[in-house]
Amino acid sequence: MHGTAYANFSVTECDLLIAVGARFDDRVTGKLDEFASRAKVIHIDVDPAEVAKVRPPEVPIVGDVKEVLIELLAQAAKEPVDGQLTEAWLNRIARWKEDYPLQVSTYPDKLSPQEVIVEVGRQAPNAYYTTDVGQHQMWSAQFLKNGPRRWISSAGLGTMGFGMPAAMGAKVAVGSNEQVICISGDASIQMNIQELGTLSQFGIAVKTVIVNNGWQGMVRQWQQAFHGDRYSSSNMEPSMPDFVKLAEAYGVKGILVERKEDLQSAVAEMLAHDGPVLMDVRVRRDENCYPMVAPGKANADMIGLPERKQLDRALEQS
Amino acid sequence: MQVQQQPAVTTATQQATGAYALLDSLKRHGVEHIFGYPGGAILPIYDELYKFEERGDLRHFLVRHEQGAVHAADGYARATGKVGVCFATSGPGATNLVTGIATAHMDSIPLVVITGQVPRHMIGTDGFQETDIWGITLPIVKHSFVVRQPEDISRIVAEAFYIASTGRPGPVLIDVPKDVGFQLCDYLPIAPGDVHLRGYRPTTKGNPRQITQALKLIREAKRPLLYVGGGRSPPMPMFRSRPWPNCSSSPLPRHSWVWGPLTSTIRWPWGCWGCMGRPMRIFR
Repeated sequence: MHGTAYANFSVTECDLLIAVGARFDDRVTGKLDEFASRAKVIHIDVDPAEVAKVRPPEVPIVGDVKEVLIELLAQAAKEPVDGQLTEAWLNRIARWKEDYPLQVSTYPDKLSPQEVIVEVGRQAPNAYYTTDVGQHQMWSAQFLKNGPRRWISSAGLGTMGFGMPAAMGAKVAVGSNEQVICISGDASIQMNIQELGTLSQFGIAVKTVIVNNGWQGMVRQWQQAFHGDRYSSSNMEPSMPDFVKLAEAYGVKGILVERKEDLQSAVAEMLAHDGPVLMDVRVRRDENCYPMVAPGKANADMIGLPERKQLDRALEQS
Repeated sequence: MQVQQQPAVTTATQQATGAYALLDSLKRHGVEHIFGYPGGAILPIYDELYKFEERGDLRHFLVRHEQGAVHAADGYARATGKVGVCFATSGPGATNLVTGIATAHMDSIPLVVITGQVPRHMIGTDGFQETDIWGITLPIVKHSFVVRQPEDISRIVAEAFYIASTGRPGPVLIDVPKDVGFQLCDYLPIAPGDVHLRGYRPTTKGNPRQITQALKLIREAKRPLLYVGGGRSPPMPMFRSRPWPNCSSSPLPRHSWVWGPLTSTIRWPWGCWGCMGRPMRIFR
């Protein structure tokens, strides 16, 4: 739904989709009959109930993903495969990437949510990241580059309030040599805010970044896009708590960032602090998360794409 | 999934309370950290936990809401691949876990969730802090148990860990009535993985004919795409460490195409492929 343009175009035009440990989640497929509609499907999954649940594959393989891939690659290694066949396709994908990059909005007077996330990701590229749910989650998925096990997000159920306690668990697991950072929103963080007490009691050094726009951002975006700007119960601004005071009430360090020029040093301070930190970053309110595939639409039918450059016709026809 | 084994002090039968049997069994399954919140029905377990903590055998983190405990166990599991463990008492304590159990279930995360329950003779009487958490969580667990006899605990824990961590992982609930925790029994420890579950035999090896068929399609494809989901064990380390024949390209890029957001194309032995990666799933 908020995937990159090149991913969405790729899946629309591919001729072979190899699904590995995936369940064809509706958020991924968009309009089902246009999802990889030109492709044959190989579906590798340990759960037989998932294979053919959403999309009947041409080649179903039930098994442990790792074991199956090892076997597949062992067989593949016996005979060279023609890499030339896919060269044009890869060039095409590269062009899409170039023509439709993800956008980090910037404004003269206010931080954008994307800027905040990009900056945190830049200063802590190897951290374990957890998120809550909403726009900040989508931007985190778009802009953070995470290593194995370092992306911890409630992707399936979409549980607000997951981020900080999950970060707590991750930090206990990985210990003091790794950074664990929770990217949250002002709405989500309040769902399990009491866990600041746990962080404090046990000195669990989770760094929580609140991308604070004063709203349930994703709900607001949908209400703007699909419900005629009727912002029904999505505004949390009127009683927004002072998060710094709230953190300090629990004995946790609080940092407030309101100006663009303060972001970099605040993130550095947060990361360097020996103990849990709650950082409240005020961002532009009306930012929307793009690209977006509206419900019921095909993945190629995105809104919010950057202006297209002229595509090479020859490439399109290849 | 490797269930981490602890060296057993003894594997002989011993006289022990249900609570001791539970905690000792957890320890034998490699549990080091537990997130939870006490309450009446789970007090016998917490009392025994006190002694385990004093010895440094287990470490418990007291949360402020049971939902925090189950999400913490979940984050713990996602970060390590180990089974996450959390405790809650009966009634409202247990029901406060529901969202977290559903979260783990939806994303196939291995958890063992232990709830206190009212004493056996009070089950079904609308006792104080009683809920049928087994019934409530039926659609959102991979499996669940209500302990009826303390002698069953070691087998139940072994089965719970095995079910949670094998095949498609998921949360497993163990509901422990208070009097079971108090009761003395002949406790015979069971080694991790020493379970016999007729009817649960996940397939791990792929059918070789299907694999051959898949390879045929791969060789013919002009526009192939890898769609990688949240499938648990990251194959990434495997690709990093093996040298590939017939591949003139450099070693695979560091970025994990399994877990990370969209990365650049990766070179497989047979050339470059477009990669969508896991975030196709989480790009809601």
